[in-house]
Amino acid sequence: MIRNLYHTQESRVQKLTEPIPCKRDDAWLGEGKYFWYDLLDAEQWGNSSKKATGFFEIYESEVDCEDVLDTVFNEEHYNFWLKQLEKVAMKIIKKTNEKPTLKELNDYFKERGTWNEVCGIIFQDLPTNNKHLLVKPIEYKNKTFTFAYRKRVQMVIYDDKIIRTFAFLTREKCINLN
Amino acid sequence: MLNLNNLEKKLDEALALETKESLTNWLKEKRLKKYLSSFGEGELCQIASEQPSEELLKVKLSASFNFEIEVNSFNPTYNPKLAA
Repeated sequence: MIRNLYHTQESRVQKLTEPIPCKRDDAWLGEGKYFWYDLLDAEQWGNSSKKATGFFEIYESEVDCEDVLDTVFNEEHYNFWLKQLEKVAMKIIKKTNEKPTLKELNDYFKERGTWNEVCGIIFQDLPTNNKHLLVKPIEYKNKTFTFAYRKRVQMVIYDDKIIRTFAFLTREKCINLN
Repeated sequence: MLNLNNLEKKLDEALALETKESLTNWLKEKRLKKYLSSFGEGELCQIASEQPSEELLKVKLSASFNFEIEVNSFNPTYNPKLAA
């Protein structure tokens, strides 16, 4: 299956010819090239985290998702991933008395489990900015609860061979989201 | 298409070989690497200590003198309970 995904970066003098790998320690699923499933999230990421030059750029890619672990849209993959994740986490906790981070678990899969055939992972968290949600928050006992019904889906790519195309889509001025 | 059975098999085999020592060392190494990476690129090296110059010494003495006066005004030894 081919999916169209979006890569956001700071706008620089030269346009990118390939996505930039994320090496940040807080990257959910370790070192890799991160893409957004939804253009809206790609824009929000530009406004919130790619502000250094005042402008951000979005690139669009066609990605072959055949050898990707799809924990968002594929039920079998989700259950499998959850089971493996908790299995490794339990083992680490039992042996070391330490809870691993998600990145450490993912590193374990790749380094110790030798999951080289996994070219990428599709995963989700919840949107941090509720401005674009169309459902009114619930108010109960003086508290407000927001139902984040929209998934914020990302994909991390470990193997460039699944990136079919990579093309500049848009350059936008960063705006304050708050 | 990914072969999930094969992935699970490889993972189970790796986990079966783990000991307290192997996992502790692996985790320690990961966290040490993460900690060291916060210093940026390059290598850690030892810097030779230098004798302070005379001017610097004078400043230091003067500073410690002033400091001592301040400390003395709140010196716990003046309070018999705290001195114990």
